[in-house]
Amino acid sequence: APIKIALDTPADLQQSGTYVWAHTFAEYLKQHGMEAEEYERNALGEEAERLDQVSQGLLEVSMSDAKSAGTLDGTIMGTMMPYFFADIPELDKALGEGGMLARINEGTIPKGVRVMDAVYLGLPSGIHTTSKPVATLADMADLRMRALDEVQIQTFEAWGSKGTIVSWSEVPNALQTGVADGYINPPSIPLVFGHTGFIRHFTDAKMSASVRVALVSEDWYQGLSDEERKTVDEAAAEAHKANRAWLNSQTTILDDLKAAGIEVIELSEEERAKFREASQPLYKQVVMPEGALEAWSKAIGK
Amino acid sequence: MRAIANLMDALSALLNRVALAVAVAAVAVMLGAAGWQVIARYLLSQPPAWTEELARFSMVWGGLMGASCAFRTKVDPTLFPEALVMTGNRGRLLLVVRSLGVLAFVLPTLWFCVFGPGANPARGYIARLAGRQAETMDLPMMVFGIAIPIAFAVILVHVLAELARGFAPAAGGESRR
Amino acid sequence: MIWLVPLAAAAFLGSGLALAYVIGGAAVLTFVASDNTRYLAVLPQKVFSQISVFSLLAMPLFILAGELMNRGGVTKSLIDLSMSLVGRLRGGLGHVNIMTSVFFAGISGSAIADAAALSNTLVPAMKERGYTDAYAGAITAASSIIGPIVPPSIILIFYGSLMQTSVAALFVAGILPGLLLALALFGMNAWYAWKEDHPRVEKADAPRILPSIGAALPALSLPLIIVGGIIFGWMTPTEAAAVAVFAACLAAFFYTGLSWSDISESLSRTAVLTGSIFMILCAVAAFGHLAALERIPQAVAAIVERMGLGPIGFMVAMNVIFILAGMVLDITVALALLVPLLAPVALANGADPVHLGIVICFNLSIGLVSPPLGGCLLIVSSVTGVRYWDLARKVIPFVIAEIAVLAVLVAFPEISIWLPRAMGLWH
Ligand code: NA
Ligand code: NA
Repeated sequence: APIKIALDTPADLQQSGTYVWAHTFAEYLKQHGMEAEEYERNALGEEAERLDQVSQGLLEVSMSDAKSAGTLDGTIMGTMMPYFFADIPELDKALGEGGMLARINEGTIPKGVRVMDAVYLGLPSGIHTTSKPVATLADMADLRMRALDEVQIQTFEAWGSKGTIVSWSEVPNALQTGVADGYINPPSIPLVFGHTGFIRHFTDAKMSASVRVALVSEDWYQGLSDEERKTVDEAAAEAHKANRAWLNSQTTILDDLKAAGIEVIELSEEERAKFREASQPLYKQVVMPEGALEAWSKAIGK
Repeated sequence: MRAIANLMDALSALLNRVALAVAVAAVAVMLGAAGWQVIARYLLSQPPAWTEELARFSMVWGGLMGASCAFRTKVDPTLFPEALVMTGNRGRLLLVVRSLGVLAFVLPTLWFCVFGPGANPARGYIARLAGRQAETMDLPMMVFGIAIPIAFAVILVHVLAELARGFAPAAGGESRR
Repeated sequence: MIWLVPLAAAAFLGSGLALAYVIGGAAVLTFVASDNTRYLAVLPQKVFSQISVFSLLAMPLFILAGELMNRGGVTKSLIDLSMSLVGRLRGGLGHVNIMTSVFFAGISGSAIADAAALSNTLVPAMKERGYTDAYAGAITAASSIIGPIVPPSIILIFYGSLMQTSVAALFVAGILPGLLLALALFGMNAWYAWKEDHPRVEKADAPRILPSIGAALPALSLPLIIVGGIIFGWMTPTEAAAVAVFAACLAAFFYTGLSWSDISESLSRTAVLTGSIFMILCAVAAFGHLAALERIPQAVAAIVERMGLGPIGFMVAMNVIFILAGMVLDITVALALLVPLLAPVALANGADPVHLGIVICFNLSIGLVSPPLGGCLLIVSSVTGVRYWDLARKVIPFVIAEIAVLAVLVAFPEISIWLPRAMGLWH
């Protein structure tokens, strides 16, 4: 049977970094004699279901959110700490040379899930809002932002605003009814998900990398022949390269946003420093296993 | 045989009462959580993060327990309700076919709740959920997922009780429904 | 091996087995017969993820609100008011049923919630006034699909996110088609009322308008709060459903009041009905996973594309596919699987994305009320106790009328696009 690769975004090589990874991976396998098939977003189930299928060996590869892997082992939540990493190369270095991806896998592999790679969905996240533009930290004060999880709630509280948890499928409704005033996401998200009708402002806050993960079933991975496993590893390396190259080519995205009628706001250095300062207490609040925060700090040489 | 049928029926009826009580409580919790979300939004100007998840998971408990009650009291929609009141050998044959249909769905679901790949209970659905946290509440997902095997096991008891009733020699009049 | 499955399913059906278990049992047998036995391991998580859905919460809550309104006399006051307004027409309560659905559509985003709540309130009232229960159930089911077409609409939100289309434009685009659908149903009801001599309320029995408005005020304020709450962004539809429950309790105290046994009976009926509905959803989810694994929708799409139908032929074929999909698949599954496959082909054939969204929403909704397997029919049947086949037979003329409205909508895209364009939401 072909290797099933579950996508997490529309199959769009222009806008979706995770699709670039998944597609490159699939094509490499096919060119090297392994059958692979891409499954549309959510066709095999939503995040929790796909994670569960991967852990049982029923699904070979799933493009997933990092939070999903985080339910198995919290170490990966560190990648989403706002303003912790100077930039993406620094995060990449921590994951690779710094040994953090290996450390993450020590937690997830016993539960049947291998984190093959950290994948960037798009450029670093900024603040999308519906009615009120955000140019300063103080502007956050009277906003109620959509939060993905407890970590984001804490982030918004640290910034002096409020968070409300809304699942992704409810986000358009919540934004249009004013249940939430905006969300944190990579700049491309309103374009990819068609939110340009109600997202009006984007603040390029570059708070954290938009990390997603390529999960692989450990049962399946261990069941491969040595030669097959080598092909899979090479495919992942190829996909990794393609994803980073794609990210570096995402230079026009802010112009695309403007063309879609969304105001793009650059943060001044001074304001960015305020955001960074306000975020410091968050690192201790992220629920991670004992020693993980120290490991992250060490991996970036802090 | 008849004694077993009576025993099974008593067990099935007892489980049904318990399931209904749990279902009612779950619906009440669901309503409370959804209502509190509105109140909290305006009183505390911020709804607590856990209301949505609590409401959803209470709905799972209420719905699944309710499903077992719906099975026992035969309120589930069917295309040929007249088949349910047939008696004699034909009635028994239909009862067996119905039971097979239910078992075909219920048994694999129960099996995979308990056992994972390689019939390993440590990797079954419930064991997997035990290692996962709910998103906003400080509880393992198992607290909610366990509703599935419980509800399906209750349905299994209802099926067995029905079979026992159908095949017990009807000494003293009609078997109870 | 696979040919055994339809035989087994037929045997299950004929034995009087509840549909949920017919579907679930047949799904499991299909997994086994198609050599996918190991994937049965997804069953528990499918069951869980299928029913732990936030947007489903509105359904049991509206069922509960309906139960409380029935027991607390709220429904009666609304029916009295409607009777004073349109009861004097022949088939008055049928019109009331449709009008209430239009109103409900402004509150609820799903046909299922709509069908469940109105089955619980209006069908008993219609039966009391001498309508056959099959007709009362059929008109409730048929008009429930106004719900997802008139905003808010869960289907349209989902489509908008899949197709990167403005949800605001989609919402506004649904208004006229939804009203057109209501008009067609009013027409059908009037025709039936004439043909089958449905009751009209005698002048002496019809409540006077002003007093009945006064009596209905507490009840009327309830949907106003809910609709306003959603429109002005005070609350989500789910929260609105919770508010509806509390408001129903409050309003009940203006009328007959609620005893503890009323409340506990309402809760237990809600739990059992919700469970009955959930079991169907769970069983359908098992089939949905198999269809996704085997890439059945893709195969269907490929066949359609290979037929080279041309724009009009393709549009017709797509309508048929989506109606069929609405009949057998869960709506979210149908959307997730089919929209990314078929919509690009439709757009390449010159379709407008907003118009396409309304058409697809319309299609899937019709699938919900079409025999052999319509979700809303099942809901109405389980809530009212009307036999499924009686309902299915009675609903067919309404489905034909709905398909006719759909055809008009397909032929004249302006019906959907004009309003959002006039409001500057679409170009
Ligand atoms: Na609606
Ligand atoms: Na109606």
